[in-house]
Parts: sequence; structure tokens; C-alpha cells
Amino acid sequence: MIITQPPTGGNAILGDVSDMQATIAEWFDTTSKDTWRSRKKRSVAYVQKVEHAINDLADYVDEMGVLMDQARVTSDEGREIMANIAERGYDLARRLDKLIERAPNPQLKGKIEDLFFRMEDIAETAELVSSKEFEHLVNLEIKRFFDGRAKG
Amino acid sequence: MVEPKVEWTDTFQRQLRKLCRKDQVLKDRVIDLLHDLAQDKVVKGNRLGIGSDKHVVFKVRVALGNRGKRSGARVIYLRTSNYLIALFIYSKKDSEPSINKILQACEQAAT
Repeated sequence: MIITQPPTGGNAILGDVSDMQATIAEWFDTTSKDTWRSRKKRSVAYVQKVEHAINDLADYVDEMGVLMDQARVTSDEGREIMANIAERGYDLARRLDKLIERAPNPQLKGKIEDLFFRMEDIAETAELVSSKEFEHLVNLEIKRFFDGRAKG
Repeated sequence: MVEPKVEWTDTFQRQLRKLCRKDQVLKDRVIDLLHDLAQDKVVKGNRLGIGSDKHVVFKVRVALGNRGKRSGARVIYLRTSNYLIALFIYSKKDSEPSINKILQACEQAAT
């Protein structure tokens, strides 16, 4: 996914995240009502759908990191989008975590667990990217390191 | 192509020493990881968007003791063409690390 217009891209990706939230909510809702067989069938479909959305989101977060490094997106624009992704990402990760125990078989359990870890990782990264304080801390540490080297 | 030189900051060293009290072999694992990252043997991790074209900051996961995948440690490092500098390492104790806890841990170690 290549982002050329970050704010528009940001809105689009947040729309995708909302879709993912709805998909997981629906999945969560149906797993309690379904029979074992239909739950398995539904879960396979939901895993695929969520996996696809997570791949897109991971690409987006990575691409945003590149754009921010290259100053093609202002830090404030990037931070705002990332803060939103972090907040929703943790919510999605929490929901996926609860779904792990409802998985109809070990294979799907492993798959959902993997989705949970990936979602959590995305949320965690987005949270760090969104923090001005973290950026300041990193820059200070880099400066301290190179100043120390210059002094020998 | 020359392999970037692996170095670490004093803060990173202090944080690693503290984590090693709970996991004796963590130091070896982290140093191996840093060298693997420098040689592009493993995936670089997540780009944090707080560097530049030439100085890129990444976050990567590392296993911690017997805690399994749910909790582990994170390494924040800077990559340039000549250097790979480990800046911070912190443990992730619960499923939802707060940015404030991370900042506090890094700030305390840095001072």
C-alpha cells in the first residue's frame, strides 16, 4: 500500500480499521451462538478476512514510518493517525485475545493467537510513533551517544 | 558491503544489566540478535518514523526468560550505514504496555 496523500490515506485506513472492528465484533457475537461445525466454518472465513486487514494495516504503519522519516508527512499528521490506530489496535487485540479461547480447534487457535500478537505489535508500534515524548527521549539518547564519542 | 558496527548506549547497558538479573542468558541472546540485525539475517522490526533517511530507528521483539510470547522485551535501535546502535531495552510485563511506563523506564535508566 503506497500512501501519497497521508491525511486521506489516514482516513481510508481508519475506515479499514473500523471495518475490522465490526468484523471482529460480529465474529465474537456469532461464536457464542453457533454450533461447533458452523463456528469452525465462520472462524476460517473471519481469520482470512482479519488477516488480510492486518497485513494492510502493518504495511500502512510501516509506510507511514518511512514517510515520517523522510519528512514527507509532518510529525503531527503522522502522530494523530498513529494515536488513533494505537487506541483501536489495542481494542482489536483485546477482542482477538478473548476469541483465542473460543477457537473451535488447535489450528484455528494458533492462527487467532498469531493475529492477536500481530495486532498487539502494530498497536504498540503506533503508540510509540504517536508519542512526542518518546521521540524526544530517543533523540536525546542518540545525541548523548554521539556527544560521548566525540569527547572520546 | 561492510557490516555496520554494533554498539550500545550506557542507558541500554544499564537496562540490559537489570533485565539479566532475571534471565542470565539474555545478554548473549540480545548481542546475537544485534549482530544478526546488522548482517540483515533477521527481519529489522518496526520502523518508528523518528529518524531520517540516513538514521532509521526500529523496534524489535526479543524473548525474555520463560515468559513465552505474551511478554518479552523490546529493543529500540538506530541503524545507519556504518552503525547499529542499541538505544533502549525494556520488558513488556503485561498485554497492554502503557507508553508512560516505557517512558519512565527509559528515562530512569538514562539519568
